[in-house]
Amino acid sequence: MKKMDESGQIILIAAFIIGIGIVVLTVMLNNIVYASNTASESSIETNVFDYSNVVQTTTEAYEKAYNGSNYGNNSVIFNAYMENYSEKMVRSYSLSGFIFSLENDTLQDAYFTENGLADGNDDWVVIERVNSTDSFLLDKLNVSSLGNESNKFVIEVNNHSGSKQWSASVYNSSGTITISVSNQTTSIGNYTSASGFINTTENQFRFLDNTAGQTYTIKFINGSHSMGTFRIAGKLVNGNDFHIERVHIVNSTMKLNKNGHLEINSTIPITLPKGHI
Amino acid sequence: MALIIVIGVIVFTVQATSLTPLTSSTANAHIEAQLQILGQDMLTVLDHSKSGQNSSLKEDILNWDGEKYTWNSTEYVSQNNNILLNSSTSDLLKAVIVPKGIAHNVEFCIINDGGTTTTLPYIYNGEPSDNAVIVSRRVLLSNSDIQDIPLFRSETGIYDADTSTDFYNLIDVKMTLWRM
Amino acid sequence: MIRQLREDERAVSISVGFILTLSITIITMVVVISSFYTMMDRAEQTVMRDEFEIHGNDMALQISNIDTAVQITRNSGGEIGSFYFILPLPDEIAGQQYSVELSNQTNEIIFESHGKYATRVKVPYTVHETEVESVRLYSGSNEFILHYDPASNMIKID
Repeated sequence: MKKMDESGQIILIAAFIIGIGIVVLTVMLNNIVYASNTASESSIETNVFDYSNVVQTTTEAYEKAYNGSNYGNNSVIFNAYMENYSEKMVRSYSLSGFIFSLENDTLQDAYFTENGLADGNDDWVVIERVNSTDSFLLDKLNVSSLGNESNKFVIEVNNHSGSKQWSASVYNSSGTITISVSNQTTSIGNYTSASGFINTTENQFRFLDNTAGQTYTIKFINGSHSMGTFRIAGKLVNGNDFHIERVHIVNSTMKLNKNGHLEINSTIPITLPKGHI
Repeated sequence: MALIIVIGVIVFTVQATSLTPLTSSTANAHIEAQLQILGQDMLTVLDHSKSGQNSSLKEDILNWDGEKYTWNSTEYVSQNNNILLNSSTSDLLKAVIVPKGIAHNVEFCIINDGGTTTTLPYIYNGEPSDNAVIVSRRVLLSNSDIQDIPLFRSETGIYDADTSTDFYNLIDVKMTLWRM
Repeated sequence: MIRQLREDERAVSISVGFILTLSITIITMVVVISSFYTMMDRAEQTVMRDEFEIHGNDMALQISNIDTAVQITRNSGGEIGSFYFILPLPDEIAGQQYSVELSNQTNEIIFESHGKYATRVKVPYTVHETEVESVRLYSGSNEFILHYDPASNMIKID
């Protein structure tokens, strides 16, 4: 009996050890699985999608507001539209947990840079893959904001292989707005504009002759050396119409704030009436 | 005696093993993330406006006749037996979501003046399960977008928030996705 | 012969038997328990590596979100005023402090716990329009804020 009791003690201890060991292992496994669970439930971020949505709808809202306000002259209608839009956006986003706010400056006159501001991109492609241009107008050119001949603002038209088909340089030559037009081989002529309005598709500039039947790209170079408005409309190679027009720009500041742990704040100059393609 | 204790320890450890969380909850988090990204991508594609025209999503809202469409394994059919045609949303859903067996609802939400929301179902396939994912996209409607405003108002129920300006309303398109 | 051996109780001492049994038991228990400690430590390291990878992926996602938002804004001609995101990183992972390092050269986020090389996890990230400032931070009482500095076009964390 004594021997049996002593043998029983070892079985007992071994059983306890095995038991404790299995429990400890199980608890550790539990921790690993639980930790993987909790950490992988980290938030799925959609803020970039929300941000691009905000940029897109706000740009559209400005364009619609501007269209109904007689080129920005009726600021009551413009502001009323933007008030309505802003209020609905604030309410809609607050239901999704975002605090949205929109502020804008007054309408400003624009330079011929990419974003319309004086410090924007000087050289940029306005529209590419153009099949035909129906209207190409420049207006509100001002001698005081035009550079002289060494700082001229150039409109360049290149075909699809990059060679220049037509170009016009606009500069201030001793107090007169001078346009110097040339095609890929020769100079077509120098013209002046007293009113600050240029209709590029007029016969004298020979724009349509030099670009007929080709696929071309319109570029602005040295855009910061001139202020003014422009409008280009026509057809693209794929058959769609295009229409870019810049009369004013408005600096719009958008803020998105979520739960206090994410904030996006950006200022975008919006080209009005129609900037993007 | 020893046998009793050994058996007791074994029973205790077996019971302790079943305290670990089941792995199905891990799977849920990954599936939800996948559905969210899928839904966001679809709405982004639908809301892309090319050449400055209205996006496909906006066209679908403007062409909506106000009825609630349900999937009947071949088409989206409303209660009056109208088939949903000419809708990029339904085409995209048919091509991408239906073959994967993911159930979906598409609803348009507008906020009333008092601050409450009105939810108008466009495509409705039942109440979502617990692991459903909602993705949303805001679309702006202006008076100049709509051809016949009284008809649009009476068919869809989306009203003009401000009759004195071109602003019509802001619609929150909510797509709910869940695995059946 | 065998019967004689079985009934031979000479030089049998109960205390020696007891001491032997006890020492064998103690040695077995010590070996088993110390192996458990090693296993626990290794399991802890696995848990830490897993969590680091998850947090690292979250951070990489946020970094590319900031990059994408900057790109969207630049395409529209605008500028980002500020973009900040508070990272929900815990003070301690698996009961120990850890360090987060952003490396500009190798484009990686490196997590390490308490200088232990075995728990080092590297998560790569990509940025196109912006750059990320190299920095090394330790977990503790401060929150980690990932923010964009428009003046230097850099994503910083502090």
